Amino acid sequence: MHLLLIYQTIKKPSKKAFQIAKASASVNKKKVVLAPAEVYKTKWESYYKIDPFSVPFEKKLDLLFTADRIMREVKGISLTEAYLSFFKEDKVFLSSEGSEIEQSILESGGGITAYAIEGGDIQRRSYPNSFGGDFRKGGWEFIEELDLMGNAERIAKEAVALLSADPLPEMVTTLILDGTQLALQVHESCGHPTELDRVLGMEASFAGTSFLTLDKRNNFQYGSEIVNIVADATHPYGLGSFGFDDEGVPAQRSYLVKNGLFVGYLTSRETAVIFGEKSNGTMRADGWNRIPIIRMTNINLLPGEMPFEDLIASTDEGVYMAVNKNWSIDDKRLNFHFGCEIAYEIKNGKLGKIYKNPYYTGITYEFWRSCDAIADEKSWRVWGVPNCGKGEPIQIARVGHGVSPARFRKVKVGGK
Amino acid sequence: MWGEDKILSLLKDIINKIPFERKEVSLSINSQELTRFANNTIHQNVAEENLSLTMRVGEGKRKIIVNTSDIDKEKIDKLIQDLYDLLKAQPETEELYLPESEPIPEYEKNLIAPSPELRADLVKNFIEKAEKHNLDAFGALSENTTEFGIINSNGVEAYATYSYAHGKVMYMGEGSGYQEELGKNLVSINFEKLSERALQKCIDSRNPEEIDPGIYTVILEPLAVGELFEMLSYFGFSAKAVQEKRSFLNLYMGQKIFKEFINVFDDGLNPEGIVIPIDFEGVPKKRVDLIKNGVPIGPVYDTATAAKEGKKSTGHALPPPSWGPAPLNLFFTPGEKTLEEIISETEKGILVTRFHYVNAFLDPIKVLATGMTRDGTFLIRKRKNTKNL
Repeated sequence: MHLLLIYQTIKKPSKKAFQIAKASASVNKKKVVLAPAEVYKTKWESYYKIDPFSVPFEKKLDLLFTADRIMREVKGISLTEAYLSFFKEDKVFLSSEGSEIEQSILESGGGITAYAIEGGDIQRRSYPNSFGGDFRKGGWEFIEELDLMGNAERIAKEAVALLSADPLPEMVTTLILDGTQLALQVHESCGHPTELDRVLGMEASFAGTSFLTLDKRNNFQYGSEIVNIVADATHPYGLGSFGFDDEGVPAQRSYLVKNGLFVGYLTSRETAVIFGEKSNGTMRADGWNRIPIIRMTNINLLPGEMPFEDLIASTDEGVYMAVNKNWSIDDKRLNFHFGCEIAYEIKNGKLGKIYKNPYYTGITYEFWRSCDAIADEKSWRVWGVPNCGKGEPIQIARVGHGVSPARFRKVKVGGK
Repeated sequence: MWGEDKILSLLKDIINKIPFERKEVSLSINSQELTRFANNTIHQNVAEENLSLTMRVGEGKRKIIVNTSDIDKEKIDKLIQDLYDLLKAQPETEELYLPESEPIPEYEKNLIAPSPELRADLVKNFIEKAEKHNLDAFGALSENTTEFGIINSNGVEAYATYSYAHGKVMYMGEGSGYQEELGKNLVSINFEKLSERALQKCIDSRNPEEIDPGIYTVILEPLAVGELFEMLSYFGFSAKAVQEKRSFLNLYMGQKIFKEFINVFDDGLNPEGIVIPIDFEGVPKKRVDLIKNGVPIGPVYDTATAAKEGKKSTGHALPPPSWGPAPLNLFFTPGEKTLEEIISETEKGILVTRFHYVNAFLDPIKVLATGMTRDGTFLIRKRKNTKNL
């Protein structure tokens, strides 16, 4: 671009930025202080095998319409949805401190949903997850791994079967959550309340605050001793991975909860300074037109030691719930109510009949303190959540949650 | 602002290059500024201007939508070239329905000149109030302007603008109180009244008490009613939801399921709301009764859903690609009693200021919504608003 054109392009926004800064300064009494950060001059690229943008459009449509047709062929299916989504972002970060960082990010995702509708009842099943499926750093190879066509008939039949299933009875029982629902549980009840900007009130009038107040760091039993949760932006395929955040701080892995004890927050340069610490690198903007705010990276519940099959087999009585359908949690992230697409009865260590409209409810720390088993690495996987809303104007972040299924005791469950 | 001539001229140039039998090109330019404050400090203060160009084309039973924010001539020409391949690859599903031209109703043009200084002055007042009571002020003030133009192969040539301002203020100490309001501009919003009300709620919400779960009479303030109606409109009042049999209208259309005095309508031209004369297909917005005397009537239509029933669009299309039409200008007709009168008639109950994280995916047909209360939930005892919960 010609230098004059660059000057003309940036003149108006620069003038506006100056006007805004002056207006802010007329109100603010304290200066912004940033924690120190290293200077980097480097490039970072996310890993993928097959560029999805090089895959012919016809091939993508063929996959979607074939999966769609398979679902529709199941008697009783009224509506179907099939998605593929690809995201490519090139970013350049320059700072007056001297950093020059280029990043290239490629993400892929997809999923399918079948709806069975009869009278006043609507039941749905999604694969591999609801609200668009699963997403990760990667290319077309991930879409092939998902095998949407191979799962289309199964979920369609499950949606139809749910129409004649009983609603889950209300009770207090043992609850095992599948990976997709547990990912959302981690997102809502650990990810959001550990965002230090929320804790400090910066989101108070919109997204809310947090029950994990400053006095609780290293001083609050968040969960049982087997609960270990890390923020890990370095994971190779996590949707919340990157090389550097949007303050130029490198991706890191840090504990939020260690052996059940709450030990850390997601921080930025402006917030970490209150602890006299450096940022752990979680500032991200959802595009060129938004300012960076603290966002989850990959908030991962570390795996336990028991194979998933043993988790079910060692449960005498309880409920196994899968795939999120509905979510509500209060502004401090304490009281929650989550609904799932399907529940299975567990009796004498075996999965039994299905129930519809299942939900469970609880208080965050009581729930995590009741966690007595987490499945092992074999069933551990980072699930991508591409639609985390926060900030004003709203910003949609793409984040990840590594989990394997886990078991919780004495949980209040029910069905409509 | 680009203005009508520049926008329509660009759209004409583009549509003339597109060879398909049915085509629509639209351009939307949005500018917004927002000042956010927390802990008695402005902590985020932003401005942006963005544009979005959308093309919808159809041949036979094939259709495609593309969108870009890059209006460089060469990029647009390349995108038009790509339309051939994209459309050819589409299987035959349903045709692209486009509206015919209709006269655009007269409307009061409201354009905001955003002012960071005005927003800062308002925030100063909120903070002064907070400091007087040893509290912290939180919230956001925004100013938004959009202009958009649409041209299609059926003769639609439409252009419209709309602006609105929004303010929210919250006070927090031992408790919290919150209020928000939408207006034509920031000056039209009575921030003195708004902030006083939020402040009083914060003061009243100290020393919260717990109550037993049970069945209570509940009084919802306007913000809480609005959040529930947002769910009702999202899940129920779209013609697409009705046609797909996933709306509560499929069960209750024409039946008296609400009290006689419940009347809800959508009206994009009502000066009490954000006046938007046309929808995102260029169809003039019509007033639609959604609930009349307690009977659900609805729904609202865009061109595609209307064509399936041999009807005309009610002017409720959303920007493409969308999940169908939606009412964006909901009005709940007021009753005859004041809030204080309703409270004084309540022996025991709960007053709710607002909800948090409401959604109704658990049972979308019955719009079974879950959510939490926040920022001012009070027990009403002996006809008086008493304890914070």
